Amino acid sequence: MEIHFTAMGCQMFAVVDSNAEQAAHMLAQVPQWFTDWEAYLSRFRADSELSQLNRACGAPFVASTLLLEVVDAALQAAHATEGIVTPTVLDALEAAGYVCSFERLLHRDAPALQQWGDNVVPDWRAITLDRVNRTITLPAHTRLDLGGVAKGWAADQAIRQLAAVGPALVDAGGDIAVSGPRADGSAWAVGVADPFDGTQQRELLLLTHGGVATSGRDYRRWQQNGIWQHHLLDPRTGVPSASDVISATVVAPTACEAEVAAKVALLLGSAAGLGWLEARPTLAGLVICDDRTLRRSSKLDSFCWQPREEEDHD
Amino acid sequence: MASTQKKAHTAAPDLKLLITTAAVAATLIGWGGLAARETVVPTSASPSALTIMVAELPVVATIVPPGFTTQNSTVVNAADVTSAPAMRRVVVAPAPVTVTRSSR
Repeated sequence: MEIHFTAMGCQMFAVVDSNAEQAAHMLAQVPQWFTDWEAYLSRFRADSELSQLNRACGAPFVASTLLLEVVDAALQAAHATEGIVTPTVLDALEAAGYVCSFERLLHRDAPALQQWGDNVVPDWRAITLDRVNRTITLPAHTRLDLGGVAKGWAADQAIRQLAAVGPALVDAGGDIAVSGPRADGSAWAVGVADPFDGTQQRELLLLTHGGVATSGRDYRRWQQNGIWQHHLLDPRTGVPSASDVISATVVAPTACEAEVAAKVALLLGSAAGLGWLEARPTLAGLVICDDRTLRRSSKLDSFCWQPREEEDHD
Repeated sequence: MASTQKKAHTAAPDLKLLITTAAVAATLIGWGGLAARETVVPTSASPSALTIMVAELPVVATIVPPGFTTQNSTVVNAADVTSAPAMRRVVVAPAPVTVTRSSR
């Protein structure tokens, strides 16, 4: 059984390999889970807890367990990627024109390019997360965007709950988590979209655990002052990435890790990005470049469907 | 008779003869006799994978009247034409449950 819905500005999909009534009942709750999480984590909602945190920058903010967990995930990602993926990019994103949800941005003119200071993205290491007192303290002039981890985190949360009723897959806007093998023991087949042709797939992956995510600059882009911008900011420059990678896909132990790693691979560019993946034994991925070439990390082969012949035992 | 008269003036009747001959060849050998092409017959189905039988048909020369042969024409043994094609099992890619792409 499966369910399709929209949340967090994306198309979502969840499936459970079971026809039990319990599975159907659980699946029906998935959209509400995402709605609830979005109420906490969306920077586009003035009443979200994240927006309240951002308004409190400079003072300790008493946070919910959920916000503490997601901000902690974002800070861990920043640590693991040496700041390549950081939650402190909100000011830079808004300066580039990403001031509202993307579906609204498509129907309005992006505000004129803003220059702020020297386009430096604030240092994530200056953020204090106190689990004992349950507070988060942002330095002055530091605001957070959790778009780098939120969907992957949400997919991982959903899959943990769905796994109780059967083998499951959750697709949170392209960030995908699986609970384990399918009911018949086979792997979940996941296509990798061609960023140049939405009707085509460049690869077919077979997953029995973990997650896969794709980061790309082929869709969420807009014009500002006649210049194309997109949502994948390079914190080293403070502006949208100009790497040679248009789309990066990574397989990882969780959807959240896959989401972060895919962004790293895109932001670093094809050579450095693949090198970064190769250096991490739990990650495997591919990048698709501006010239349409596809390059894989060495470990991705174990996840790729391969054409084969069966021996004829007749 | 009218068609015979037209024959003297155009190349169409020659083409008609070739097409007719080809049609005969197709009837005798099957469509595979006109072009080397695999015939797919599903043998099983599962939610996640499908194994199909693929027939590897030999290339067979089209039967043409003697006037159409060339110096390089190949004489085909009738036994090669009538022998059963080799079969092999090929695992077909499973249909993806979903597709990962940049968020939209």
